[in-house]
Amino acid sequence: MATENIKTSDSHPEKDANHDRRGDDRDPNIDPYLVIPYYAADIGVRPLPATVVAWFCESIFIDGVPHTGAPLIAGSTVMISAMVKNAGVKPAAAYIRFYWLDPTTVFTQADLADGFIGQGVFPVSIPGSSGGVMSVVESPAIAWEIPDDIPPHICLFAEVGCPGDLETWSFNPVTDRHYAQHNVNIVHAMPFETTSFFFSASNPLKETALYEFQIRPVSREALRFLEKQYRAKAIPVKEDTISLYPVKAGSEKNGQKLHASLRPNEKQLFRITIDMPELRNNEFLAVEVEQTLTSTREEQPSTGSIGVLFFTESEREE
Amino acid sequence: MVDYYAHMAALKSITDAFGAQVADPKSKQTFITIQDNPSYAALGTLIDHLLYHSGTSRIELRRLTRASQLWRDIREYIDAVAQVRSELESMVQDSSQPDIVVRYNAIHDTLKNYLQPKFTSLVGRLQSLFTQLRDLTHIVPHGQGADLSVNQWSWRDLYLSRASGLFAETLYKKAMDNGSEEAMAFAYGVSANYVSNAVGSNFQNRTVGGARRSHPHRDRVAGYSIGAWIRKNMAGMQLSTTQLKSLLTIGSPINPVLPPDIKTILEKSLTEVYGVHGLTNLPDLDKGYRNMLKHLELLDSFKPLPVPQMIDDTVYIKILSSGTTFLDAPLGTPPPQDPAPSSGGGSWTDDIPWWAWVLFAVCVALVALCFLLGICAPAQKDPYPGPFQHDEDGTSAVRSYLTSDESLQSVKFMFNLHMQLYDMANTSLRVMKFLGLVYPEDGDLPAVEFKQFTQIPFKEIPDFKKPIVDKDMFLGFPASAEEMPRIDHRPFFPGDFPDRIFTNPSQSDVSTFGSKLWMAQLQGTDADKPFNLSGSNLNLDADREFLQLCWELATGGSTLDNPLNFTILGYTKI
Repeated sequence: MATENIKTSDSHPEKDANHDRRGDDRDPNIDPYLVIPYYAADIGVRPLPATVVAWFCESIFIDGVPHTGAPLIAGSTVMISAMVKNAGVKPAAAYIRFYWLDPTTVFTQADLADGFIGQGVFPVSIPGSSGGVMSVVESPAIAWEIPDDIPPHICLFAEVGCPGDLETWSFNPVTDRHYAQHNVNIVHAMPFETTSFFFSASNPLKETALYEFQIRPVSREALRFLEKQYRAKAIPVKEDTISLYPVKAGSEKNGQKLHASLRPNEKQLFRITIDMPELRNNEFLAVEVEQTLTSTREEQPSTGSIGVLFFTESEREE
Repeated sequence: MVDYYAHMAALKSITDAFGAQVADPKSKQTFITIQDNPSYAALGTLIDHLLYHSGTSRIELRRLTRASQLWRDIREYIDAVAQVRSELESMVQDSSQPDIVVRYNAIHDTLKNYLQPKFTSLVGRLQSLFTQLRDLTHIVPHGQGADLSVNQWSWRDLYLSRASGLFAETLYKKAMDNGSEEAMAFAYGVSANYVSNAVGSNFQNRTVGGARRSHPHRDRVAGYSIGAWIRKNMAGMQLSTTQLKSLLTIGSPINPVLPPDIKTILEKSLTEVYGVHGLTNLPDLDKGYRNMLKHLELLDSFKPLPVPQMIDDTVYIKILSSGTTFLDAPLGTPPPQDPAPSSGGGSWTDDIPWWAWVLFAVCVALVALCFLLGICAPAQKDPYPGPFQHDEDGTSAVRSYLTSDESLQSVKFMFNLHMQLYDMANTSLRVMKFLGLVYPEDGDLPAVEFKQFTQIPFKEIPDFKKPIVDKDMFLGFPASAEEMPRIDHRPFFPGDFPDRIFTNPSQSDVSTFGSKLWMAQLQGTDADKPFNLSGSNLNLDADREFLQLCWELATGGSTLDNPLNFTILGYTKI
């Protein structure tokens, strides 16, 4: 199982071709170098490789197992934790924080404040631990009482930092190894019907910015990963069966690609639609939406994404 | 020479094995005597440490005392930071509390008039300690390693490398002549020490990559790492050094003294074995005993620091909601200057001089100082304004501050400072562990610096290596020449853990040799060679591999010669 790979990962940085190009200015040969790993050999190279599903981090656990996206039961208490890897040479006292949000592509401070779950401190060791070259530890499990008003679809978000490798407040899992998200939404839909799914998008910048939103079928590599996760068969999605709508009074524009200008912290609701074919119980469709900054004075575009998996609605007993 | 815990585990394993063999009333009585006098048996088992502390440990004890005092002060300092944090967060949560000006001014006063000035002196003391440790003289090498003549060796080295069997035999006889249960327990303890060192040193040397005389610093870290492994993993060994001290404390707990009978037995034995060779300047055994207890007490004074509390959840949510961006991350640890550690090569510890870790600690301290002084505060603003006046205006001003985004910045700042100080303290303590001043904790053992000593290496044939040229590189496995001639007689195999010292499949272990030796002593006979104390002296550093006899350099030779030019010493020769 992929998760077991992360828990027992002994990958060596030198075996990774991207060892010297991790995407930030921290030096793993001097400092702690924390990563919430997206895959077993993840040493913190960011932006995440295109073959990695950015909205599905298998290191975020509920009750000791990777979260699947299944709805959480309101009023119950679960334990949330995450695997954390130290790819640097110094041990550290690390801290982790967890958040939950309504389905969204981008994470703003205000949203994270609303969905703060809890936090904890824990030691992370250094290479050589557990008989391997990399040190991977599970963070303390934080008790989380599921709110009564929690929606069926949520996103889980994790943040890690430590002295010498502080969190950056970018809140962007795609470009920053201190952050990870489980942003997978499982939707059950009736065959031969058009099904909708709603999510929001925000502008985390301090200035108005133009974003592109693109809906598309999940790539073949990503589908293989999802098939393993859900032990189900992915059915290719026909592009003409999916659409993206802005949910805004008077706006009828739709398509696979939209543009929206958002003011700072402005939130925009979107709707995905899909024409469901007939699927067997162990089959699913997968689509993703990516938000990309198209106009900015900054060099690096801020991006975000969300994934939706459609299974067929089983016949319910009367 | 093995550490306290290996010796204590040896005593336990020999006692257990011996207990399983006793059948006749005499052996049963001896077993009961040893069990009824655990302090005396333990004292005998630690005879080499007592001799070490009779004078050789002077520098180590002084530096350890200094480090212990510094650790205590660092702990107090961090506690004060935690207290300020807690107060500040409480006031930020509820600024309408009574006496808010008094309370805020109190923490402001602590910050400005205690924490900020004290930090400089604390870091100065830390740097000064590390500067002093830089020469590594707290680990006193074996006199033989420096080609000193025997009369210049310490008593510890004499005991381990000269007439060892004769000494144990002589001491045993004198204890039996004394006839007290305490003396007998002590003598069996000394025999346990003999076996423990003979077998355990071989395991230790193979992880070190050579003998103590060649690699004194690696040897110490190995001894402490193996001891920590034993403490963590072996049944009945979960003792703190304070508990060990308590076990060894005989008489008044305020002023324990070496029991006179034991002192007499020891002095007579030393005189009889070594005095005849002109070594009449006996060790100060009372001082050795006191210092050993002091050492055990100091070792236990480096208690782990409490992990910093996270920022209160509700305050942290306020911080997030404030929309303030805390881009304080770019300020990190500046790289050490020369040489830069690298992850290349077989093991990255091979490339790192130990003092690079001191630079890490100092750099972490500098970052903490930036937080403390507010240098890395956004817009260079003082994150800790005040003091405020004790009137309505002051109350209004402090409340205004405590409900502002600036106070949230200060909360975050204080958290960063607290974490940074915690990291600085632990990094500093880690250096002391690398230097063999302090035992590693359970949580340190997986780290390669310690783990390398708790398992017989796989990576290469761990032959004995000659001394390394750059002593600062002692954390890495020696890359120096193999010492010749090789002796291929080893009971340990790659992957073995320290428990194999005490029992192993080939029965070349402490419990087998030790219980047989005790039984032979009890019956007035000799144990099988080479544990026949009346005819063999084992080198208790195992410095020419497993179960080799005491030896001396050929005239004009040096331990740096390769091959080593030596002769085996006669039974009564030193």
